[in-house]
Amino acid sequence: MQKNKKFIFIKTIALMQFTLLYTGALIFFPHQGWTNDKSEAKNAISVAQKAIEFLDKNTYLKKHIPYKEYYNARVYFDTAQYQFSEERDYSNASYFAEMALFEAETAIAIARTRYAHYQKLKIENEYYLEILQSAGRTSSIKFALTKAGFFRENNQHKRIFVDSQLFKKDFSDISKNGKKCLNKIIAVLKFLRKGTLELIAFFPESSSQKDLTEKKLKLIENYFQTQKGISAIKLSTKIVTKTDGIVIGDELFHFHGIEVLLSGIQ
Amino acid sequence: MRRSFLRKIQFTLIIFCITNHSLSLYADRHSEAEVKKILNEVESTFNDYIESGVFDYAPREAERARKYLENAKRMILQDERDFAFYELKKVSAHFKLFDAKRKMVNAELDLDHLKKSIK
Repeated sequence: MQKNKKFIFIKTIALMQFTLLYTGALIFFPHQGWTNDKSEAKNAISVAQKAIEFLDKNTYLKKHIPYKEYYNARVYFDTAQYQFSEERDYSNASYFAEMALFEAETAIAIARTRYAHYQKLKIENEYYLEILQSAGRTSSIKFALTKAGFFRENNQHKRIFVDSQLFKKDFSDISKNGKKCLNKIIAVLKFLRKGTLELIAFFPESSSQKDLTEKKLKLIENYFQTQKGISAIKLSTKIVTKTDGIVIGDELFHFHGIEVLLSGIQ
Repeated sequence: MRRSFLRKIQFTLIIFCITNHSLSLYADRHSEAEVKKILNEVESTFNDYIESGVFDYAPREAERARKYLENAKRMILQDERDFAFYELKKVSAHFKLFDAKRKMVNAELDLDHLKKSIK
């Protein structure tokens, strides 16, 4: 009986020592999962901080920042920092930091949209005033071309639309904004007696929506011919693959869209 | 003897909790039905965005959202409902971002055309 008690006592001591050693090891050499959580949270907070600093320091966008999204980003970010430094809840810190990043990115996109609209209005006001002040057919054609968004490239007048500018989200029809853009092009065409349009539907090489391209082209063709009375002689269509993308800001995009080439300007 | 037995139980519990520190001691706050309903809604909305061409105007953001969605589905299979819920919240936070980016791309393209046309 005494031997048994001694044996149990030794076992308990051994177990205690093992536990102490193991606990000590875990404190000084933390579990790999904890290290990953902490470093992920730190990285997420750093990325969110950069996005918010971009908004704070960019002098062009500052005037156009949407209050609601910016405020949400700040609140999420502060919560993430608190969770990281005070609560040491790294998965929560990571979550709030990522939410801060999404709100900051949304705020940046909205600010850039507002800035682009503001710049466009400013340039149009200055340019149209200059054109209207001078008389003549050349000025009028210039005005119509600029209003329709055409630019000159390799002796051709070109206008590029991406799908989101022309069509509804389900591609069932042309959107209201798309019809406004197309009406401006029709106005140019009616101005030019010998003007012709080539509609080139393009898609990136890796596209999985090639079937839609014909449908989209048909929608525009129908709009021009049946709704606006443009003769078929003035219209031609084509479908191409576009390998080079379009750069906007510092990002390269591979769009699906329609290129409009205008010829016959004298 | 009872005391030493209890002590053994205590130590075993400590070691078990330390080695399985990720074992949740609390039940998930979100039911399976709730999480699955949210998953269906979020996945359906995300698919609508894919069909409308979100990978054209927001490729990085859409890819990121897709990864979160896949994480959520994996966590549901592993019965990690709370984690899945938060991954789905991250996906739905992207929808507002997609709309904002769509408008941004359209506006900046228009501005780019205008600048080129007046050169």
